[in-house]
Amino acid sequence: MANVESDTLKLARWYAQRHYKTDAAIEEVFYLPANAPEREIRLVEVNDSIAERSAPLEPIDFGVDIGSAEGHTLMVLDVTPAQWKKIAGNKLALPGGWSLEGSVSIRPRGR
Amino acid sequence: MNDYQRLWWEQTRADHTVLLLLRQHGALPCHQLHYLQMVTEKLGKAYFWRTGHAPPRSHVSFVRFLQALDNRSNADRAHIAALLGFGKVHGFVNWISSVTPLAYALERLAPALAGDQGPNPEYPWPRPAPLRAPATFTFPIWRDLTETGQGRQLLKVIDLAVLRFPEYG
Repeated sequence: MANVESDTLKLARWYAQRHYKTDAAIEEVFYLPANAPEREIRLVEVNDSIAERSAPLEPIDFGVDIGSAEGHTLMVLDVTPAQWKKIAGNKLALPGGWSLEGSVSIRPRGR
Repeated sequence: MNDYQRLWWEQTRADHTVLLLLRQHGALPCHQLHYLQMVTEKLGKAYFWRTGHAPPRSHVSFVRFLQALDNRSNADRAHIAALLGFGKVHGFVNWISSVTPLAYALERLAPALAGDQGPNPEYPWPRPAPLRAPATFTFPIWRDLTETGQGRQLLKVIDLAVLRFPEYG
């Protein structure tokens, strides 16, 4: 189990660094392992280029590893910096089943 | 490509055909931008249906679509880069980074994201007391798309991304 978790964290760091590289508007990425199914990687990306909407927050499934034997799922939740402050202050709900417990901040390399 | 993707791709391709007609006839920028925004939004949604589940209802999907292509396996990425006209994978990855601000600007053309105050290709704004109409407005993004090499390349890649979708979606 511990190996699975370290594998997903390793993958989370890899995806986060690629996203930092392709999108300069991403300010910070958080990995949220709590309650996630085995092999599901949940990232929250704080992004100042997205428009804030009133609709409930919905993650997007990147469909990264379809059909592979050791497939994993990458779920990314995009939030604005203001939304992230509200989430951290318990004033805005994460998607159902998502939790900040045990979250890991992944900082950009070389920025 | 699954059945859901096929349906979304067929609609994307139909919208793209109209976009090409508008381009050929030199239609007003607002009309071309309107169709371009719709094509990119639907292309992203067609892609994210590959999981078999509905993607989020939000308009934010074109930038994530480009990122998702970058997140594919090395072999897939090389294949996609070649399909979209890039000779080398790292050229494709660097291109995604450089074109992302323009892709965000395209996303924000959707009235729901442009908000009451912002330029959009469909309705006069600001909504409470309009001062501008899309038909007569000079969209900065139009200049970026048509008067820069990066913009023209983005248009070409979008054309290819629609046409070659069944080979990588």
